[in-house]
Amino acid sequence: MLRELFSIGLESEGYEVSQASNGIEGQRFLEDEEYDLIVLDLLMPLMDGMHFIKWLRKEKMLQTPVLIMSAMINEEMKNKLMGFGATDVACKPVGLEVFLKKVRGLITE
Amino acid sequence: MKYGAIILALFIALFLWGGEVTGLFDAPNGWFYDRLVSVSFSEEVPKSNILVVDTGHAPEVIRPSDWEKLLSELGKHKPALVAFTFVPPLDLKQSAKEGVPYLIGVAPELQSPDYHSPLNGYDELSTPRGHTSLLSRPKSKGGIYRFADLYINNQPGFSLAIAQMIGRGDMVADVQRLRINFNHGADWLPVVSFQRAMTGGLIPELVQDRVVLIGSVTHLNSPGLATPVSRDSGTLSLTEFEGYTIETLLHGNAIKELPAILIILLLLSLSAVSLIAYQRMTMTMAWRLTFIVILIFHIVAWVQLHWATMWLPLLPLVLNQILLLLLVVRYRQIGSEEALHHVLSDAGSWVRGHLMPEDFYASDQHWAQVANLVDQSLDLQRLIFLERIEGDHRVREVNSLRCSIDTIDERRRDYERTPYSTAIEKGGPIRLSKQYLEPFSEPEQQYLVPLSYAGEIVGFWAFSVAPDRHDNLEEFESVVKDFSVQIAEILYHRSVWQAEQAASSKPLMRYLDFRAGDDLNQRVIWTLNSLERRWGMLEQVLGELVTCTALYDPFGSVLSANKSMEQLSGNYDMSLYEMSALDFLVKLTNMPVELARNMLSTVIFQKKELQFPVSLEKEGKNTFLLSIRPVGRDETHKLAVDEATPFDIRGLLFEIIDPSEFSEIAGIKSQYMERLLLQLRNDMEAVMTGVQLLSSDRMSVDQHQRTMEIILDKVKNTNTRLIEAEGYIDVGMNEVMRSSYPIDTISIVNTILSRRGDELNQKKIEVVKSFPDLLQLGLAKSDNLTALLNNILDIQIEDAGPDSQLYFSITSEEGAQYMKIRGTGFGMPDEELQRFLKGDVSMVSEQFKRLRKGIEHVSSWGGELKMSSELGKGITFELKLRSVF
Repeated sequence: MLRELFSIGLESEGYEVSQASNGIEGQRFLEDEEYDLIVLDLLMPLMDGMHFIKWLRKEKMLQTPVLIMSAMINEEMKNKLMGFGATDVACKPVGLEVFLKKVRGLITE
Repeated sequence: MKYGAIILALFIALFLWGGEVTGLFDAPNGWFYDRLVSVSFSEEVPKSNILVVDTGHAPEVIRPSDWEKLLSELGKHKPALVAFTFVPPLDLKQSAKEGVPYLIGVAPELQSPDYHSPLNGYDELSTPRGHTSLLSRPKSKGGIYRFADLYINNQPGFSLAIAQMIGRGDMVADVQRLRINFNHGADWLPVVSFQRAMTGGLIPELVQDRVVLIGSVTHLNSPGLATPVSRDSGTLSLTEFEGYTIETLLHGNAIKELPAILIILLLLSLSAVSLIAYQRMTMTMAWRLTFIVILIFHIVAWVQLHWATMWLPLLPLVLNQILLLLLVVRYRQIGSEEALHHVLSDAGSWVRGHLMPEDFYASDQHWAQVANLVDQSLDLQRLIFLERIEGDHRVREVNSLRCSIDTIDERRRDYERTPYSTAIEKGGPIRLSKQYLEPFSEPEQQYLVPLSYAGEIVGFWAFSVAPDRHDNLEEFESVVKDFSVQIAEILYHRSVWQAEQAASSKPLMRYLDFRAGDDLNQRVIWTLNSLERRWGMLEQVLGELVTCTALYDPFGSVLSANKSMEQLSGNYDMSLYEMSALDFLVKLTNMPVELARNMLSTVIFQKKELQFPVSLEKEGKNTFLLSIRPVGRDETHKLAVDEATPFDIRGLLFEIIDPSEFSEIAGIKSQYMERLLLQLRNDMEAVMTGVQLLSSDRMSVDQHQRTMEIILDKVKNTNTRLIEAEGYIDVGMNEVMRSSYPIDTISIVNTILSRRGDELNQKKIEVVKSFPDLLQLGLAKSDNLTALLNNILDIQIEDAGPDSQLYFSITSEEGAQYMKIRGTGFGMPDEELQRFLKGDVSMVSEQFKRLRKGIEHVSSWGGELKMSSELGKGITFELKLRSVF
């Protein structure tokens, strides 16, 4: 649901958004298209965010910026994620404005 | 009746008195009398007033000269009177002249004018010194001669005439009949033979002033008289009998009898005293008292007879005492029966009230609920409950679903024939090969199940099921049998209820059928059966409690203990059922006995819960907590007023609690709470984001609408989640341990693999894990899941060869998580594995039996367990669990 709301927020800002309900579906999207930014939740069915980013960086070898959002992020986890190749990490709750600001920043980079 | 016992006692006393007065008890009373007369100790024997001269059995052959000589000898010693019990063949003028009065006993028939009387020659002897008197054989009572008639044909009889002649007749002036005093025994009368009397055997001490009675003692020619006392022949002669009568008259010691008024007063007094005494005694004491009282009656009667020459009517007294005892016994029995009825009635009502309300039996609606429940649980096509009708051999419909009694062939409604008899014989469900219910639109397998309760067939349950609906028929039939037990109980209660209704509506018919009154046996059986089932259920509940629990009565005896407690006490060599609560407390806590006693008193009298640390080394844990708390009396089920318990509590509950379990539970709950908070935060964030979006002016109408819907959905979901969370948080330890609860599946798997690490290493099995870093919480009973995973591990280890791998992977999707446990062992053909899981249970190893149980558990949590195998490749288990967050 939050995914859908953020999608609406992004679309209202003029971004084109694809939504995947789990990591496996996300993998399929990346087979077909290129994206400017990937926003991930850590806790996902079938494939969690951690496995996805490992796959993205090590198997897919893509350098697409990745923003990870989760409520379960502490400092240790944050370092671990950054180590695996996350571009930025946001701890939930993330307000819409903060989220859009981060998105804007990551895409501009 | 309130005063029934008193009225009956009065009636008994009056009846016995009436019997005594009317002579109804003469024979048995006489028997008692004879026995007491014959018992004689060292009594002082009074001097006899009589001398008996035995003429032998043929006095007629004695010569007249010898008679004259005898009379002359007697005359010298001045006897008071010479009396003959026969008519002597001599002239007594001389004797009369010598101043010795005489009397001749004459049989009444000899006075007849037609009779050639031998007295004719004695007419002139009717002088002041010579008389005749009537003498006849006395009358007996029951063949025993105890009484003498003093008058014969309204004339003074022989004995009375003698008494009158010697001036002692006025002693018994008004007495017609007297009870002869035989107290001094058969040898009391001095007897001298005629020969001895003739040869100087007569001395003045024997004769002077005595009545000399001359007659035959040997009585060979006539039957003797049976009296309370007798000589060797067993009887006395008429002469001796008259001798005793004369002695009784002259001593004035005839046996007196208690006046009728005194007898009734005595009986009534004894009845009153006995009734009071018996009421205060136990039955054993009452029997003993009765025995003692009867013995006392005998002693008193004997003393009265021998010292006061008074006969106490022993039989009525003895009978009265025995009948009073029986009366008290009966009344106590009635009291006990009434109390039992009361208890059974109360217990029965209570049990029935707790089983099902009365309207359940009466209403078809409730039976429809039962039918629906059974139908839904077993996925049946048609079903019908039939009840047995008393006095009829045909079954009657109670309730049915998608069929009716008419669906059953008319010829197959007789429960004394097949298929009913076959089902009864088998005692469980039978598959029907011949058509029982009329054909149905779909293929079906028909079943018939006997419904029996307390060993009695109460009805039948017929149903049909799709032939391929249940793969494991054995399991299905086992479940059907379990259902049938429950249905039978309900049906039985219905039949009892119907019988009660019928009884209350047709009381007259019950009397005509001799079925009036309560059928106590049936009530006892019914109540006990119901209570047994309830007790069994409670024991099962207690048995399934996680904590070690034992229930003691207030006196410290074990009432019940659960398996955990039995196991624990067994581990520590404690005989739980042979130990009192005090012993158990002392053994567990090593507390001094006196202190332990005080502690228990505190629990009982102050109704306080106490807790003590308990060290159980063998358990591998340091300290447990022993909690003792009073189990209070339920105010709504107060015990009978006279119940013999001084306590306000019903028992003591001992619980041994493992604090580490609390910590485990707290951990599970805390984990759940943590996830819950995150989820709620996430939900709140979504709502806030949605609200922020709504305030944006860049959104299209569609986006606006969609955002609104998402917010509403989110709010609804959050609310549902909170309600669900309430159910998970507000539960006790038992619920957490025994119900499916959000658990950390990865943590459980890791714990198991860690515990069995050594075993896996020894077998050189490599464990390869593929777990997500984050996983939603799964729904399962943690102990059952642990047992299942251990069982799976057992199977995999057994199947593994050297250097096998064991792959553990966990993945998740929305609302579910999947665990795959794949071994690269020897494996087996898949058909064989499926046979182990679904085939005949008796052919399966314990491991696979446990696995089957595990599959049932997983299903009950809403999950699924699948297994597959390939020969040479290993076995794979796939476990699906529902998940939250």
